[in-house]
Amino acid sequence: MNFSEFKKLLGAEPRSTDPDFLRALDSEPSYRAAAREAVKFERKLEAAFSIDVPKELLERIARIPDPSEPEALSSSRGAWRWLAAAAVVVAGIGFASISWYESTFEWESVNEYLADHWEVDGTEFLERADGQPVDEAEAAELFASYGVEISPALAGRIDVLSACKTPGGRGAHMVIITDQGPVTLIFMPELETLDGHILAFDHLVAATLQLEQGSAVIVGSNEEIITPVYALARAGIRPVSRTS
Amino acid sequence: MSTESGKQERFDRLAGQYATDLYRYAMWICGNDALAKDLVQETFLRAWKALDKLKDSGAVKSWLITILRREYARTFERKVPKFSDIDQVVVEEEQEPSPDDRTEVRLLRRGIASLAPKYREPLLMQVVMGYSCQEIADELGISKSAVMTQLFRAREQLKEKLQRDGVTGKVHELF
Repeated sequence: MNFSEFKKLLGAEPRSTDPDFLRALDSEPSYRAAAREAVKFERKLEAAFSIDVPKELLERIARIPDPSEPEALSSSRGAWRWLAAAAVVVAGIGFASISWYESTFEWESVNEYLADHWEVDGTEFLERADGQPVDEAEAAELFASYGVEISPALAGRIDVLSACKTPGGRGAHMVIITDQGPVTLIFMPELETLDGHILAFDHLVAATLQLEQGSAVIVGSNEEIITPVYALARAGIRPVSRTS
Repeated sequence: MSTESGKQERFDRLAGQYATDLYRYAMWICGNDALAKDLVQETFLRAWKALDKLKDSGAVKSWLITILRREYARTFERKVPKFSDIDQVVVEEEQEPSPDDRTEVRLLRRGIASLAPKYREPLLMQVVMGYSCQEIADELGISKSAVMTQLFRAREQLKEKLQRDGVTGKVHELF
């Protein structure tokens, strides 16, 4: 193996155990020097790729239950996490009826809740929007009743605000003012869901958002319009204990 | 031991062994912390459901990576909003021994993030998951020689970036 071939193999597989490679390695000092430098580079590369795994993720994985066990359903939040996963599977192909589990909730998936809720309140609330923000103190009071605090940046953009039924209890239905038009934000204090998933329905797009406490879904006419609200809600709804 | 508790123990072992590598893998292919966590969680959810069907324990790593890559492909098709977190995540890590090394590692991270996916992913499989060139070829459905070329070019580009950004060393004289 000539030096050029050796270097190519070294660049592709520095820890190769190929017999020809190993023979070449011992044949010349220049080959050994090249291999030493390659190993040094590999150590840096390994350090560069190395990222600490978030503790929160390990906890999420540790909570993965067996859906066939009845106790897995005793925690409504846990059950909904699974249901949210089911919702992800059908995302993009419209609504479908998902009946994986006997749930304590009225709806069996995020999709189903959203479809149901939208039919009743979605369009009507949008029509109520007049471009004038609600009283921030009123918004703060409602959110405080759910154990969370809302940032002034988000509160100042709420055009319509109403308490509403959400999976596991009550939450808040909002119409948010954006430069591109109104966007609906539904805060669900009792629901844990998967983050950042798109649910396409009825010519609208919805994105799920997992918050530090509870979750939300953002609904708009397209992804561009909902993305800023996703970021705003993510930063703007925090547990009270964290911010006070 | 009941079948269910046996399954739970098997799953726990599997999660303990691969969660970190899968998160790193996910993070480096999508560059988004929230999405990476969801991908890993979804991978393990699917793994849990299909665990009984997995007979060859030697194939676990490849099985998990395949699930994760498919899930990522699905996510990508749905055009999930992208928020690039890779800088944020890696800047927080300060485990390298010296300031010079830290600088190099930081530059390398930027370099890895800027590699084209066709170069980054084989490198990720090799360095993070410990795949051989043949295993990478099997996973990506390309030839072993193509994988070797991509790995060589990936390293070349990273070394060039280090050199271009002012970090010098003997390593660059040899390539």
